[in-house]
Amino acid sequence: MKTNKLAIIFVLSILLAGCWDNTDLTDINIVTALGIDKDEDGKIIVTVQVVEPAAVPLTSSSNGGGAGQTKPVSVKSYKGETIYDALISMKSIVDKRLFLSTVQVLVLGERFCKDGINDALDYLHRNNQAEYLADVLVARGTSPEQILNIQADMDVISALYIKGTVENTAVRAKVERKMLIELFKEIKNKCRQITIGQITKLDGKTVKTEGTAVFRDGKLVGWLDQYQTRGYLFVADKVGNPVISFSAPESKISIEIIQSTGKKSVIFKNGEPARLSVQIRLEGNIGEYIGKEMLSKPEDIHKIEKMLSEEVKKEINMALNKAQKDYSSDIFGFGEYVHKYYPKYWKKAMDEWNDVFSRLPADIRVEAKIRHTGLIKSPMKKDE
Amino acid sequence: MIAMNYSMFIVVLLFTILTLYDLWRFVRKKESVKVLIVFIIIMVSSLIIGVLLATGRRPASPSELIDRLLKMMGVIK
Amino acid sequence: MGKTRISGIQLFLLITGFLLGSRLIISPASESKTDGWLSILIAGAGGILLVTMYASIALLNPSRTLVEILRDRFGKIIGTIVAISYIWYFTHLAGLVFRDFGSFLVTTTYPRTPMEVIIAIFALTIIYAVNSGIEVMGRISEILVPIVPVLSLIIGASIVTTHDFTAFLPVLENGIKPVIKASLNLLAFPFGEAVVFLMIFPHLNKMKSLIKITTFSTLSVIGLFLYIFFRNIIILESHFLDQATFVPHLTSVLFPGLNLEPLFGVIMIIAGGIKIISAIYAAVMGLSQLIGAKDYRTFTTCIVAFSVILSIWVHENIFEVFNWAGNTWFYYSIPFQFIIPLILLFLSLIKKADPKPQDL
Repeated sequence: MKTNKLAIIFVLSILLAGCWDNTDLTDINIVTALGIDKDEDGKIIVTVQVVEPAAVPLTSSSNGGGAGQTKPVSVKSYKGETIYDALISMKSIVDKRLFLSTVQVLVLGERFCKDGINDALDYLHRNNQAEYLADVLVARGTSPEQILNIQADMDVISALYIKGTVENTAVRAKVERKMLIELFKEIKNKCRQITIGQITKLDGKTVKTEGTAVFRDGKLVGWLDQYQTRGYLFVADKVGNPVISFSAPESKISIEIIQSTGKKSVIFKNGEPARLSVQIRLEGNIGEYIGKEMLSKPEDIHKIEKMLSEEVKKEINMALNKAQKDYSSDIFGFGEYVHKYYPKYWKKAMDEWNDVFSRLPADIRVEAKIRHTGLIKSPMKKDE
Repeated sequence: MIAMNYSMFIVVLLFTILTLYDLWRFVRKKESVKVLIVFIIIMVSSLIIGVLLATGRRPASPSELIDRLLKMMGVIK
Repeated sequence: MGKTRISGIQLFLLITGFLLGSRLIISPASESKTDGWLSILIAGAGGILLVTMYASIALLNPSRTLVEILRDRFGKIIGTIVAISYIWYFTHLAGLVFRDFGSFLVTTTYPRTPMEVIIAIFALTIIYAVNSGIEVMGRISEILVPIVPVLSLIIGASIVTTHDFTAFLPVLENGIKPVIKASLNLLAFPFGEAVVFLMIFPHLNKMKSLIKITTFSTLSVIGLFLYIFFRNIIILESHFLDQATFVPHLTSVLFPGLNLEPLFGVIMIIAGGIKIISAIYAAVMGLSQLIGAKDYRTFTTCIVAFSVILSIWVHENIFEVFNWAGNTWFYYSIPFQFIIPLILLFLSLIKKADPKPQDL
């Protein structure tokens, strides 16, 4: 019996020592944002935004209070050969282990993207700490370091502020919200080119997330503005509730889209792709109407529906034109359709698909429906 | 220079103690000689392999041998 | 031997847990990319045949375990040699599952914990479970195995946000060859491994329903594999599937705002544990019957110790683990899973077994 007890004690003591990977919160630096860029010599610059939880004010009123000595957020950069190298070497200037599972925003630099991101992001995928749900953005006209260094007044932690703006604009379909995992998927996916949301710096306190970075074969080739982005997102079927405004003679109308489905396909003739086809179905409500005419008859609504679909068609055309003529990059994923339904052709044409795509004419059909007009039927105006 | 793997050592030690305890029980219960012999063979072979592994002198594993054999037979490339 | 019994539902769950086993980490049929569902169906059909064959052998040789059947049918000398190789095969199998399990936990959750330690601590539980006997094993599976499909379903249902139900297209992109290869691999791992249960079938209380039970559990495993496959391909897309080391784990970390990774660890530990327990039990039981020990528990500790050492010994790195599971295992398993059982079935059909003397 005695030996039994001894054995139990022995086994238990082993179990107690079991957790090698235990790390206390006080031993880690919580990284909320990560920036990756390249310098002229091709070295990787990694920027981290570290949050000191003790210094984050709990309420807005305690802003000037006792915790004011240390800044809640600090930003550090370091150069290295690879991302991993830079992150590890950075330990010479930060005090604790960098904890990456809390990364909210990943900002990529323009130069880094131009050199190709296909293989460069390997580390973020390989490491078991990487947060796959972080939002990825490309900094335009500025460096990730500068973006992460902003002193946002809307939120103490600027990474959360940036993430918030991305969430907002993604719903309004002016920026594409791309999480790290989706980026990895696109990097592997030969049928669709990469797109990443764009971020620009307005001043020391504000950033703007609008527009899209377009890649071809993993390299940054250009940008879409906010309207082209919306056109692209309509085709990609990734819009939330954007507001589309257009002016008719003597009136201005803003429509809130409540539902949108986008379908894309490639029409084949004699075993060769002949046309691209895009079908969009929209449902919207009138959000604002400035004009003279009454909105009472169903025909009025039809007129607005027509104008709305024309407007959406215009945006899609702009995006398609840009992607085909300027960048020659199939960001919409028509290649996926070809891969799925014409695998034989796809095998042949896989490598020059972007060029084939750029040559094809497109049929765009938009069906728009207006459902509701809000609380009032007729425009705000004096009765005459 | 031998690369020592201490955690492997601990594991080997743990199982050696457990099996030795079993063996001691069997001897007291007067198990048949056949059982004891087989038991000791398995115990000693795992002890030897374990120590070899812990000291970094890894012998070719059965999986590798099977792999090689199958390759020799031309079943897999 | 004649006293301990498990019920039909327990055996059903035991087989289901066993078949799910480590296939939950190494995702089913990801080699054939978009055609994985086809591989799963082909392998499943083959799996039902194989498992039915094992069940028929057990039915034709009532109350006999594999080792006894082998000695009956092949004569004492050849029978003993084949039985020893089977015991080796079961121990090897347990070691491989230990290794899969350890590699998985080290890669995903405990990067700084030595793999030996994880495996060893797990092995202590296994010793306890096996020593508790087949009835306890049956009850363990009764309690734990239902958790596996439930958690898988929950994880799947909560992550599928994009509904690209055409993700499995195109069909047969690279021809039929990779599909066949993947399905053969899937047939050998896990379906053919059910040969382990020839050591456990005699414990079933109602032998009449044996084939029904085995078929039903194989079918439910096929169903779950298909579900997991479609979940993975919808979430991850085919281009991404062969990139990840542990595909199902990758899907589990994608749930926004909540870390489902531990749940996946739970699934893993249950299914892997059931598999190791069954394999170890078969090996231990076989060895003690071969040697003629009074109690099968005699060899538990030393067999588990051996397979733990073996699990660290077998492969040097993760690539070997996957290469082995993907290529070699199938060929290595052919005699154990197919040829010998087929001969046994043939011999048993020719001459029906006499009732066992001690059972009378």
